[in-house]
Amino acid sequence: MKAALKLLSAAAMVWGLTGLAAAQEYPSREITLMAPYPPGALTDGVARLLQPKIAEHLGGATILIDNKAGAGGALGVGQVARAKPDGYTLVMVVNAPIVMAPSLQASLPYDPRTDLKGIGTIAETYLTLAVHADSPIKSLDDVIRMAKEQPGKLTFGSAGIGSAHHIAGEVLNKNAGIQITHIPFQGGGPAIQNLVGKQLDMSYGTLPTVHNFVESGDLRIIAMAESKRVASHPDVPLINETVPGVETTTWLGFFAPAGTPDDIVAKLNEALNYGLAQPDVQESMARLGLVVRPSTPAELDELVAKDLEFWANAVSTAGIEKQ
Amino acid sequence: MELLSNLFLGFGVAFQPINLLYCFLGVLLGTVVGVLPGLGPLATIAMLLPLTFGLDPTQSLIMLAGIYYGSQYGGSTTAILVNLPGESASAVTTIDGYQMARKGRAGPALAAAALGSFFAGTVATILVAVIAKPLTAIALSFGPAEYFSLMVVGLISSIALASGSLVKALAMICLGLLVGLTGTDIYTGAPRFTFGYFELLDGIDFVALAVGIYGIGEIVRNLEGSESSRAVIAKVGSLWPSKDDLRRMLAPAVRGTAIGSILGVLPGGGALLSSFVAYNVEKKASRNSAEFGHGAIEGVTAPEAANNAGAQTSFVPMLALGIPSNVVMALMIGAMIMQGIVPGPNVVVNNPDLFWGLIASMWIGNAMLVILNLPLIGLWVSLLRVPYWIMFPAIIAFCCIGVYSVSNSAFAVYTVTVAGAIGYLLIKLDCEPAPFVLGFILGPMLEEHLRRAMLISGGDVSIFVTRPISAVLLLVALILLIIVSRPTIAKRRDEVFVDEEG
Repeated sequence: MKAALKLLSAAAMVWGLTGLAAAQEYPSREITLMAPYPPGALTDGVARLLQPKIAEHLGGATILIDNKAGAGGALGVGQVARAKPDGYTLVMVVNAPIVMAPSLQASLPYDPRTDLKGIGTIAETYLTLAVHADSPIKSLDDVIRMAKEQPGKLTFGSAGIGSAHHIAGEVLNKNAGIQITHIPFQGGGPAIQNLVGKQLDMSYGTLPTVHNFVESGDLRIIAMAESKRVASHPDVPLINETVPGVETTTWLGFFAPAGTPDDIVAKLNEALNYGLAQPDVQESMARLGLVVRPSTPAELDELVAKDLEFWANAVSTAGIEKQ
Repeated sequence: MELLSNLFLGFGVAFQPINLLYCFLGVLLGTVVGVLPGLGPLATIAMLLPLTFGLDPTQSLIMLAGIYYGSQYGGSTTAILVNLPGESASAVTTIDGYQMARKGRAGPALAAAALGSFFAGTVATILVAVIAKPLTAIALSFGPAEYFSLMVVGLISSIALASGSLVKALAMICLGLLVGLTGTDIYTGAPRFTFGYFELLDGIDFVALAVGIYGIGEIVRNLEGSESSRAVIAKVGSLWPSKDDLRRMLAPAVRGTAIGSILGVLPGGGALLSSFVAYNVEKKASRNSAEFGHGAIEGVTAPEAANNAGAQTSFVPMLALGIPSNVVMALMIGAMIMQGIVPGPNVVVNNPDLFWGLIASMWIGNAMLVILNLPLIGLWVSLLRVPYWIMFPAIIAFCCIGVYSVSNSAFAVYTVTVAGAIGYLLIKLDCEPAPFVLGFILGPMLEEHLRRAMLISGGDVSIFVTRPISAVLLLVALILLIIVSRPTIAKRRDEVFVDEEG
């Protein structure tokens, strides 16, 4: 009897404690922030940059960064998509596994439309088309003229099958009626390295990967695969200005599992935008080659919906098969 | 003269007490974590990288570099003592190192690894300081055709890795090549041999595979016998290499250093190859080649010197161009960016104290490793006296923690389990794991570069002979093939094999 009473009072105590915890305001325990790439990768860097600022704004919450790399980020995003939607499991990720992978991979372990809720956009960067500084190619017109003179002879490097680089290159081939041979690499870095070593005629590359070599005089940017001229490079023309339809988007977003309460999402959005407004964060982002781009949760959800459609079209124009 | 003033600047930075402290912390952490089975440099750096984000850039890079070569060093300790390679480079060290340990010569093997590494580290540090720029130019001139030809050289020479049956060695290489094909085909995006597992899209994790095949397989085999039959290892002879040992180590250390320094600069697998190539060259060049595979001290010194030299020179493309030559260097680049330093040709101009300080610290770190590890040899060797019933559960636990930490995924632990079963089967069938592992590493790279070269040339095979570096490499491969297939060598191999049987 005594034992039973003890058990009962212990149970009551536990009950009382959990009731108290639930009543406390979010966050009441540590938050896991997924960066679905290896430590030191771009997304990991951004997550670690924002981690202390977000924690500070949430009243000194503990935020643990979880690097679960694999399948181009899809493994980590999938884990967050399946997590309990209580605001304690979140993910910062580039747009590829969110808006491009659904058009490229047949068996993705999540559906970005129904499994994820946007918290806010973090930043964006831009895709360039670059050549070696010694190359006779000076402009996109040169590319098209030389490609027409020798069909299939020119080569372009990309970060891999289904990357924005690859899709831009194939859409250019299609819309300009030319044939430039696609050479995929395992990531954007090796492609640019082979361009510096003159193994390729041209390569696509995000601004951060190309920028240093342009500064050092090894590479030249001839165009951007974007829809608007880039503020930091106003003189570089768009591929779109010559061959319409060749554009891409590259951004980073902050997501929670779908079903996360709106007030928690709003609180996290506020914390993110607080972090993005800090001068030291903006300075570090600029060094990483990123342009800070704060948004509301609804704006990120709209961006995802718009980009899903955009990439579905681009992938089908490029003629890339779903795997 | 400029070099001297640069080195002066570098040592001035590296000898600052705070930098010495972080260098020491780095090599100490690296050694400790590297000694744990299943944890190689990659996992170690990946785990400890966030620790350095709060430091000043120079301290952070000095410490990270220390962790890198420290853990590589610690990895060879487990390779020698318990046949567990922490990463690909020490897979070769297990061949003769573990045999030496079994014969009670663990002490000399560990000393050979330490001294060979220190010699290589010293030479390679000077090389990095003197010829960083021209070395980088060589690295950039390697296109897909050159890489393909280099892989062919590697594959053909890998036949020499086998000390037993040639047919079995060939079979193991082919099996390794096939297993290496698992993952996403980079030219079509098609998944291969993934059986619907998302985790297999990036291929099979090397560390998990190696830990399973070498470590678990060996443990299971050991458990077959009684406790007394395992005591063979515990009979430890002299801790120090004899005069004769030292004399035999000299030439292999020089050759290993030369090979490692050159191959380490090549991005994408050059450093991986260096210890394999150094071992094979040594096996051909050495007067004691019959002893290889049965505990030759040359077979420990050469690959250890090569992988340490390669580890140093792999900093060259990263520091001079911002190009990572392996995954660890990619992590370092991430660390530099986090510190607000943009890796690339401008680092040496904008941050000369960091550039030269880091180079000088590598030499200091190598010296610290020797000072730290030579007295520890006695301790490591005494670990072998720990009863096996305590040892093997501990090894298995550390292996699982190690592979889990690489990608924070339980899948890697399942991989170890399957690989362990295969490893045991291979031991039972008398098949050696080294050719399998080399096939596994080289296969995907061979395919990647072959297909890329063919895409660039538009299907024209002559690209491999019209490019001079590629042509020379293929010529080397041809000569190697002739040497390998010469009957005298095959005969000698048989003799060794028969000796062992008898």
